[in-house]
Amino acid sequence: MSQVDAPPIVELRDVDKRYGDGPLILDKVSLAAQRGDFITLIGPSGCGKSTILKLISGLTPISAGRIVVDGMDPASAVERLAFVFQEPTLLPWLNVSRNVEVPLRLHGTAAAKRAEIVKKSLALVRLADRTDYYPRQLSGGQKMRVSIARALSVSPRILLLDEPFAALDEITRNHLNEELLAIRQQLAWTAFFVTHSVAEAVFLSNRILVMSANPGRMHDELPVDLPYPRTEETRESTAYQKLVGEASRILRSVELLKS
Amino acid sequence: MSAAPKLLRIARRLLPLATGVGMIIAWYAIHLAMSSEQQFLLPTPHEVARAFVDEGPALWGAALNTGGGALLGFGSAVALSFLLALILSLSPLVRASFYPYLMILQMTPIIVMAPILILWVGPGLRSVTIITFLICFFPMVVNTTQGLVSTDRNLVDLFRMCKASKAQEIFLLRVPAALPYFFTGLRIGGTLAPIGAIVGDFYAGNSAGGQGGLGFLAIIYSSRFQMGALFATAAVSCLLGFVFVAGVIALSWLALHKWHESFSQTEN
Amino acid sequence: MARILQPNGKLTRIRPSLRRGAALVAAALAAALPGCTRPAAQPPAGAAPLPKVRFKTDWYPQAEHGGFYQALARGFYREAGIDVEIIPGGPGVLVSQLILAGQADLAMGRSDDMIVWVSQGAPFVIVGVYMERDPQAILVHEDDPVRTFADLNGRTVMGVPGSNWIEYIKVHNHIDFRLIPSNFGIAQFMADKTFIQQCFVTNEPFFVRKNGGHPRTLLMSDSGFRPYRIIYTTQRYAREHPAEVRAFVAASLRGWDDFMNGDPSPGKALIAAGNESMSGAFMDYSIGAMRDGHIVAGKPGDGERLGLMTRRRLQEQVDDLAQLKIIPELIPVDKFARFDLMPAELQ
Repeated sequence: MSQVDAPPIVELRDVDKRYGDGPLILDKVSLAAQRGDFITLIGPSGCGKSTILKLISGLTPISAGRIVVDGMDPASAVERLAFVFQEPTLLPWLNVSRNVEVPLRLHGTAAAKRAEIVKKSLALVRLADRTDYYPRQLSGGQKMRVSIARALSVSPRILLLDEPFAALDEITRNHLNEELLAIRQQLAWTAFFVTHSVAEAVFLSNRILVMSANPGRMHDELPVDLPYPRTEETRESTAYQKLVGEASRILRSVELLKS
Repeated sequence: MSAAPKLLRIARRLLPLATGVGMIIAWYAIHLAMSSEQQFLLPTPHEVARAFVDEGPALWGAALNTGGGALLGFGSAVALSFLLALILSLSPLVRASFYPYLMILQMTPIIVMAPILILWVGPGLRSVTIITFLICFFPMVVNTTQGLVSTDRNLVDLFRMCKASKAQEIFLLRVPAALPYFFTGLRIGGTLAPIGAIVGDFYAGNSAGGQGGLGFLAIIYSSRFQMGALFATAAVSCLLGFVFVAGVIALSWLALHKWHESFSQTEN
Repeated sequence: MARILQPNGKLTRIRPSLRRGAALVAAALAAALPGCTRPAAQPPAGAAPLPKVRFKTDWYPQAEHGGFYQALARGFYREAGIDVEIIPGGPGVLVSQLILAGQADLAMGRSDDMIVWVSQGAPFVIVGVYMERDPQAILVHEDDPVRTFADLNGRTVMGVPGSNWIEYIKVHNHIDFRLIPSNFGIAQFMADKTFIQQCFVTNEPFFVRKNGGHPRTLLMSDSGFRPYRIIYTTQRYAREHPAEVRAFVAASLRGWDDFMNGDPSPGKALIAAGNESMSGAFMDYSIGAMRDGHIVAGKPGDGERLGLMTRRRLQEQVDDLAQLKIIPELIPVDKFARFDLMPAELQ
């Protein structure tokens, strides 16, 4: 999926980040993502993984260094991006289909086009039969799917996901992981994913970036060579379990660095 | 075995009724136990009932009068508090500079403000409306402002990422998200409005066209020692309060029942 | 020769005895010592303490209460055998409630209010009259077109809500006007040349003139509504303490006679001591207004005299109030008035 010769779709070079006069949250962080990568950021709490997503999306500016997103600065590139937050973050007063079309409405897309896109997006997350439901009538997993559908509705080139499945039980989480990859088969976006679950990181990504904390720095990278498409069978393969073990080991060593 | 829970359910429904009957009996007992001087100050339940009948038209007219003033004051308070809340939500600087004065105005008891207002505005519907307005206004401003600034951070970020205009952010996101807070303020205001109207009426009510409000009637009945009628006036005032609160609850149901957790019946 | 009030209400002449003489000297001393609500005179040595009587007025000490303060200042109550305490009222004070609660024994009021309250079941009774006419009036500016009560039609009047008199004016003149609640001040009157309000002829006009205004009054006593200003108590108190009631009524009337026809200085001094904002000029104005309006003793030509209470006039009041539907039905005069506790020559 990745094209090594093309320029990186997202690049951070020696990026520092602090809020106001506060402590340094990111210290000379560099990374480069190729088109089609699925990059997962893992690391101990406070290492700035979510902050990196915020920098890429332009929600907060860098303090030093350089950041290029799809050839532009993040603020200009924001239309090519979509963010899936930790909570489903749905508007509770709108039903499912109206929630999905929120970005389209804000952009001013015509009603007919909106309806078509919403239909497609909900089909992708397999919630086509719940269009009239309100968020309070949905389970946690369903709400998250709506959130993903909303993100997909803008046909993003870059998808940012900040621990989206953290609040769900393991079975639902595994299902959603598989669904996410299935969608990725159809729509070739580049993904940045943050999680605390090593197993999830290995299952989803082709590259795992491990960070250390206080301040946040890039510590190590673990390539994941498992072939796509990945299914539940992948989880049972030895290669997978070896990689999970490896990733856990690196994570542990990073955590020991703190102490 | 199955009869016992059914009996229990019936008993639970009858309990308030039984307590009510008990209280009426106690009322008569207290009345009879009082000295002749004090006895005449506590009318018996049937005397109050008779006053309802005798003074019916006067009570009804006064209730409409007071209710009208309360509605006017409440309605204008709703509209203006919403506007002020919108303005206050736009900037923390604006909030910081205005909040202390809002607080001071809220703390000043209406009993002190009412006579001042009467001198400025003159008695009649205008003063009653203003007094009602003042008593409802501040809780509503505070609650709605709170709602407008407490919007979920992630939702605001989402809107920012979609390059939403400030107007879109306010009217498509902040205002709907603030509705539950808004209705909380409304419920508080709805309870206070009839009180404000009656207090205002006390000071500002007048007999234009021969009809004052409930506060005005209270003055007349108390000056004439018509105790039964006075109690009946109190009961009608209480009912007016109920009507207001019921109205607000109905409105909030209409706006929120489809989506707000406070209305959900079952878990998913 | 001294005239002494007997407990049975009779004013008799008596040969001065040593005891009486001592009491007289004490009373004279009390009259010469202004500035206290309780005169310094002591009861004659060896006598039992006099029964206490608490009298509640309807406002701060003022000339409209002058007769009572005169009686107190000149020791008439003590001579009559009672130890009176005058408790001033004020804004928001419900005199009738205090009587009911037993916090005062006797109080001042109006006969029309008494009729209304008794018809509602209140256990009050009128025991005496201290003003033949009520000093209330309607206050207008001099240039106001209102000349008679009928002219009030369509105007706005500031008055006391529920006022029986206001109802009477409306019905008997077949007119209507707007009534706005009184704040007992003259601020609005001074600011607005078309303003009309209820007032006391002994009070507001003085202050209006003082502030440069030109007031005119329409007296209640000219309107056809003719209540007495009365002394009242509970049925029970009158039943259980007739001697005290008689003594109080008789001595109070004596005080009023002295206040209006003699030298009012003792009463005025006591009033001033109890009311800081009271000026001599204002009290003199009030006394003059009471005289001009024949408020206290009425007009002899109309069959009125100080302290007189007639059945006929009380019945007239009952009829008026019933006609106004303020009382649900006629009540007999004896239900709310006792004539036997007044001085003999008034019965």
